[in-house]
Amino acid sequence: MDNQGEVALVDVLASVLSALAQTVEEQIAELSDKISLDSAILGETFYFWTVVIMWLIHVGFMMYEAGTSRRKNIMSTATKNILTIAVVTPSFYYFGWYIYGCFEHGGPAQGHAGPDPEFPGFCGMTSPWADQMGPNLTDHITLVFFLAFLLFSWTTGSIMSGAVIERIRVSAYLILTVLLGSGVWIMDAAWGWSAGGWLVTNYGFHDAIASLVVHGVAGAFALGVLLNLGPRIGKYDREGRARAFRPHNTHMTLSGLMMIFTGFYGFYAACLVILSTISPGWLNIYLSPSTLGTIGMVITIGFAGGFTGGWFASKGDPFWTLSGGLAGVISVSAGADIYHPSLAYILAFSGGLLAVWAGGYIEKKLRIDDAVGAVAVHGVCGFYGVLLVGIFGGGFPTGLNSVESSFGGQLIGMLAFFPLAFLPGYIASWLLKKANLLRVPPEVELEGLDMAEFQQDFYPEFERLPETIVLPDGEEVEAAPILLDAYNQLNGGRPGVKVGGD
Amino acid sequence: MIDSFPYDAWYLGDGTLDPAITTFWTFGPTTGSEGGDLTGTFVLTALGILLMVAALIGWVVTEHRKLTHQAEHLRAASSGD
Repeated sequence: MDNQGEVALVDVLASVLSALAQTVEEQIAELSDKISLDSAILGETFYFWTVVIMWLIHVGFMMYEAGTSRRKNIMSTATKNILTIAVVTPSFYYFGWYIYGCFEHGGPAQGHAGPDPEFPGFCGMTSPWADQMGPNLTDHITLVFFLAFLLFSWTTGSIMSGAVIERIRVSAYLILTVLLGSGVWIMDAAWGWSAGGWLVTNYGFHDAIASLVVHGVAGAFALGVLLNLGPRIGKYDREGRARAFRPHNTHMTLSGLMMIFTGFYGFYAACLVILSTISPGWLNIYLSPSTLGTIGMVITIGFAGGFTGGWFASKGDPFWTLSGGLAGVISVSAGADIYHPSLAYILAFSGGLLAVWAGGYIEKKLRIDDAVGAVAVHGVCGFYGVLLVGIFGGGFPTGLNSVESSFGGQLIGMLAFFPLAFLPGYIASWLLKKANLLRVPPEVELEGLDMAEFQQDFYPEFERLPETIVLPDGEEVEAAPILLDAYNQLNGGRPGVKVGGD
Repeated sequence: MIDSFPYDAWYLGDGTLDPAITTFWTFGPTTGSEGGDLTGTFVLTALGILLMVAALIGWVVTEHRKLTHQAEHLRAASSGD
């Protein structure tokens, strides 16, 4: 072969190789596009089903609270839970999600550039008119991610909901739950539950599965409300001794709690991030590596430890045994991505103990009538969980700057979040109280809210017996007139002040 | 692989999705739009917020009437005993 022939052969080979390379490149690009789409759809499917599972939390809260209420208040209690969805959903869509996207640095972001360098433009994507917030074939994640956060928002409202039953106006509760579910909690999530939040990037604040940012904050908000709302009439006697109001249906209450526990698996899973073409595997909310198995194990053994602690601290009380399970899980949620199962078991046990003791202290010593122990279980154990990370999780790199979590950083988070939650709850409920819109009239409370709200009794086939009091001389008389008289004497006819006690 | 109407019609010649449908929604972005910041979307948002606030006020007013009525009824019944 002469030189000319060799050159021609090389040219042919080069063009064939070039064509092959182009074909391979095209195929790789095509495959890459398909994998990216599959990854996005994986994330979309995952969040969608976490949302479905998380609905059980709200079914559970409704059953739990309706079961705990007395027969005369069943439907008004349940309605409150249903309408939580009616008010928090639009308010979170119009305002709450924007707060999460744009307030990571404390105040609103400049323009829509987004404060988070990993997700530039996230702030602009969270306004209700953003094209990601409507039908959009190019975005598989934003709306399902929004929905997962929306379900967290309902949860904060439902946590407060149980504490205030049997005397709060439904409408007052709805206003308060909008403030909590679409304002307060999501502000603290922007600060301490996002990779770019200022508490995370500056202090390494670590609350992976929301001990404090959901539970603790809702508990602190509820505490502020309870101080203005006052106890149910008859809860405390003249010496300030607490009186137990027995649930009208303990089975319903316990079943509701079990529903909440089931939904918690969806809640836990939704706190992780899966973007397989961007990151190598599961990430926690701070974009640090994690696995579903890790958090699944911690929640499960957390229930075990919490039930055990609750049982022993309450001497076998069924309500507090199950509430202890919830308290146990909340106590280990903040470090659920890093705790060894044995550590989670021990810490959850201590959380179950703490919730029962705190619940008794709040009810009997502080004389705050929290009908379901929400402040103790969610509030106290939520703050406790974050504190535990400072002790047992110090040194773990957290957030975009990989700042190591520390006891000091956790304390700063707690100091930031308590006033952020407590003050809005206290001030808003104080304003409602001053406008006489916080609490139902005492006559209505004594008769039962269902008759005023729905003009019917929801167990019509059973006779409704009046509540009675046994006088010192042994005579049994109807309780309502005596309780009303005592209430009016103490409050000058105004609702919202403690009955009995001092 | 679906290769018939309507799937093919969703793509432009360069293989990208046609923006006329990628973010189409009622009064929302249409062909060539870079985002949802359109008058129709703002108006819908404002109407939604209006409905939300009106509903909250409605709940307050309606419940206040119910509770006041029931309390007066109970007071009257009590004084008549």
